[in-house]
Amino acid sequence: MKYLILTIYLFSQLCLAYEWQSAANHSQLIYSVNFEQLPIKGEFKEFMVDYIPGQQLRVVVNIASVDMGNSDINQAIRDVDWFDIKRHSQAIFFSDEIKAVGEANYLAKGTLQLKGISQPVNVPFSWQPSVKPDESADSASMTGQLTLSRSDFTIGSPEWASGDQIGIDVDVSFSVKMLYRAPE
Amino acid sequence: MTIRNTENHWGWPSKLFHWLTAALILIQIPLGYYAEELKLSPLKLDLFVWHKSIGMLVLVLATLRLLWRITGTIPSTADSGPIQRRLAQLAHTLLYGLMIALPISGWIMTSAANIPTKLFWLIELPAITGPDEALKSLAADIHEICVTILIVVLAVHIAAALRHHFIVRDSILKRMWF
Repeated sequence: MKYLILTIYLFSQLCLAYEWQSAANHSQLIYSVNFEQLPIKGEFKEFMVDYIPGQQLRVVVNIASVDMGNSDINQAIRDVDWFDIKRHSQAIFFSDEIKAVGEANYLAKGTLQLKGISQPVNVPFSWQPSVKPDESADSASMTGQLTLSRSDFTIGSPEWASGDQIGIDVDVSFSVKMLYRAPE
Repeated sequence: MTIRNTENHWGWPSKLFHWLTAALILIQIPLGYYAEELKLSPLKLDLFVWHKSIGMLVLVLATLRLLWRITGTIPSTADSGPIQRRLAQLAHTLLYGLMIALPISGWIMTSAANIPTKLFWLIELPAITGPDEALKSLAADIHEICVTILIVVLAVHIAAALRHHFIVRDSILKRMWF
């Protein structure tokens, strides 16, 4: 019986029909990190966000789509010392819990798996449905910022550990257009 | 020690400009080649901050020096033939041009490469162009051609100074010393 319940639970998790999904063309996932004491920006061009309001947030990022606006840097960060995209081309965030923390603000507590390392991460975000008159919202904007430590994910080999040249803290921000799709 | 240059003497500001720039350029050239050859590492990034910082210092010094030179006079050239005089003038013009062109092409390189720079980790250097890979390559080519010419002209400049001192035995080199 216990296993049956567990199986049903796992199956239901797998079949979770996400109600909202990101629109790739209108979404941005960027980060900023210090380079010799001045911030430089990076962007993940391909990522997908799925969301069930109040229940579940899932973000899948194609790490190989990273762009830092400089061909040398773009090549370097793909290396094993940094993102190691040959072995770890995807990062996944999966929430365990969505907490409301105000009018339109939420906190997704969960786990981020990046470069093969899983760390607990909290993603704060605001959720603003664009409500049309006499209609339920079919699009929403999801925005937020968080700071990650690159050393938590061994991004940057030991020689870069001091953070003097490339900062340890990475400010991540996202602005995502979410579209409603009816559950199947 | 006079401030302004005269018909026969260099004033101390001109001497200071000369030897300060000389020292910086003699550090700057090997530093640039060495940092360029290094594989990506914290040292490489730090050395490039030094290279850019020294380069901008050379640009500031060269600008001030040019202003100082054109608002005053300079001692007459050595008592050599007209060809040597023209060659010396050409070398000096090239040296001034390169002291301006090298830092500016480097500045364009770092701006077009989308790399921010804090000179001596103190002063933010503004970008003079937006990100542009083609412009970066062009500026890099110009930078390299300029440094090659600089090395040749510097060799001639130093050889000529030594020739004046040891072979012609005139006071050209001594005149630039304090």
